[in-house]
Amino acid sequence: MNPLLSVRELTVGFETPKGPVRVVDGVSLELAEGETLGLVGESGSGKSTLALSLGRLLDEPPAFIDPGSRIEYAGVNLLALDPERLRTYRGKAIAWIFQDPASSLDPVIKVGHQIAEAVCAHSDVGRKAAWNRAVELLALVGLNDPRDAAHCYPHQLSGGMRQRVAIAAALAGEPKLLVADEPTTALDVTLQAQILALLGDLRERLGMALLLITHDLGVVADIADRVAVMYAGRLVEEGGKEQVLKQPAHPYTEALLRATPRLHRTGPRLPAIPGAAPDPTSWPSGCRFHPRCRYAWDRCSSEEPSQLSGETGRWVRCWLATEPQRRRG
Amino acid sequence: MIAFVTRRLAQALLIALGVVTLTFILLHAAPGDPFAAAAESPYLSPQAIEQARRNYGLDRPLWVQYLRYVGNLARGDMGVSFSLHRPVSEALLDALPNTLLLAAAALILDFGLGITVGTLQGMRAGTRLDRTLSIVTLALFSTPVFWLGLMLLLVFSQTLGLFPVGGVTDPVLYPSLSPLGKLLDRLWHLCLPAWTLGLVGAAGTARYQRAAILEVVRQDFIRAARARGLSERAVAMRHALRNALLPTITLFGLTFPVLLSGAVLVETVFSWPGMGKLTVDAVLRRDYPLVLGATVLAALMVVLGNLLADLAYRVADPRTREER
Repeated sequence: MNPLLSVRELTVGFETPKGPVRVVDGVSLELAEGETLGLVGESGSGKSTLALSLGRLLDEPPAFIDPGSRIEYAGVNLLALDPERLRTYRGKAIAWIFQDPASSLDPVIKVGHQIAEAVCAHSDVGRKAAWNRAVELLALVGLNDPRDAAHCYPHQLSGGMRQRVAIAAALAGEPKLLVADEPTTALDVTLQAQILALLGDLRERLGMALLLITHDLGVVADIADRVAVMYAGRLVEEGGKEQVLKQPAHPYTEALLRATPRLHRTGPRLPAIPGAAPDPTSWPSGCRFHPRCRYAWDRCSSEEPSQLSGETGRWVRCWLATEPQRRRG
Repeated sequence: MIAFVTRRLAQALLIALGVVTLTFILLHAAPGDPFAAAAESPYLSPQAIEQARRNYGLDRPLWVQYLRYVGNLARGDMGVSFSLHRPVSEALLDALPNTLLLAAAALILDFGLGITVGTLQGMRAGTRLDRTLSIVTLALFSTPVFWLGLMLLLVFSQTLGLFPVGGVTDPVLYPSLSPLGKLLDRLWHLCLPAWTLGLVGAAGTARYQRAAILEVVRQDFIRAARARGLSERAVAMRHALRNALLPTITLFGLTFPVLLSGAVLVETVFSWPGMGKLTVDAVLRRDYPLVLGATVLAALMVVLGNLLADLAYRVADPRTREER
């Protein structure tokens, strides 16, 4: 089966006074219909830039997408479309929800209108029908009084309700793929669980694919089918959720997992990953993780590993895969 | 809402009292008085001048004059103009409509043109169009109003003969014109002064609006709106423009006094019989009651303009409605 979304060698960067900076560097990934891919990485790894570039939502300039990149949605290369054609894919093919629900809604327009205008952007319906659809969508995302809520301005709603509204607006075009960029990070813990459950539920009911971008491995463990790990603008490991979380192949994934707090495990301090995320203006030579890697040896700093695959759909970008005996050291 | 307006109107009274007091002090602190020139005249005896001062109450101590003026003002009596020999309220009522007409026309040009140009620039920031318009607006904004008025007069009245050189209506033809003709004649006379005042204002408003748009378009909700598949036009008109209008509405309240003071110069250049011209003449003649009356009226208009801006802001921004 052809994948719903296929990203090939995507390179995205920003023009800066010091020259171009590549924040996403040669990333390739695929997503099948109805599948959930968790994209994990720490702040500054390029996750959000990747998410936005899927719909060319970055301001170009200063952002740029390398001409060798391909982003194919159902076989159509989105990067080759003119702006008006591309617009018809935004919201209808791929929709986005963002980290901060407070800032992704227009403060001076009633939320019902904001959803209704997104409905109107994709189908030829009257104002009344669009409004009714907005109320339906608000009910779908679990708001108790969708009729009243539609008449509210964003500041009259709580944070969790705002994120539900933002999800409703994203669903207005009945997208096949929902890109959720840290959808729960700005919410408190009980709300996080609710929103995640809602996303999982909607995905099932609407048959959407979900690209879930997060720094939180716990979130991924909850609802992802597959996991891709991003470090310093590159994917370093990809595989089924169980495999990646139970048997991480890349030392970075391993370190991330060790640094994740667990409820039932008590012990000494939570181990942190030594060092800081590298500066995108000068990526380290060789493997970009080598300065912080506990296993690194001389080959790691001189030569960048390619994608070494194990079983199908499972690969890692690490020299350890060729010399597994070093892991014990 | 009603409580808000009532409170603001009560504040307006306090402001008016403050303005009267300050103007009163400034007027009397300035050298000379209405009869300073008369004292030089060989035809008037010192006794006659002394008599005139007594008639106008100028011989009393200042604080008596002040209290008497404020007391009369509270009862709606603005006194009699020294130089026009008619009630101040009448003179002001004659001039006020002319000034309001000029200010309204200038305001429409100012904000209509300014918001359009500024929004266009903001949505296309960095393009050649934006850079060109930036230079034009900067030049216009730095242009003295009276100089622009004189240049427009020179080109459109003197050289091209398209517009009248001054006045509100045609002094000869006006009485014989049909109602429609009278209206057109008024508009024709209004053109140059309104454009003079409006253009300089529009340049400022455009720069303000451009900055406001640039501030809004980097907000997340603009990106989110694009991500939902809205057209650039819908993003610009519904989301960017509406949010960028909020600071510009505040500007509206600030523009009003600027328009009034600009009107002083424009009315002088175009012999426009409005408040500005009346006030300047009154100051030159040390016509205390008229200066005070005109100042109070101007202050009230400024307060009213600000109140209107605040009310408009409450309508435009739902977040400010419930508070207070």
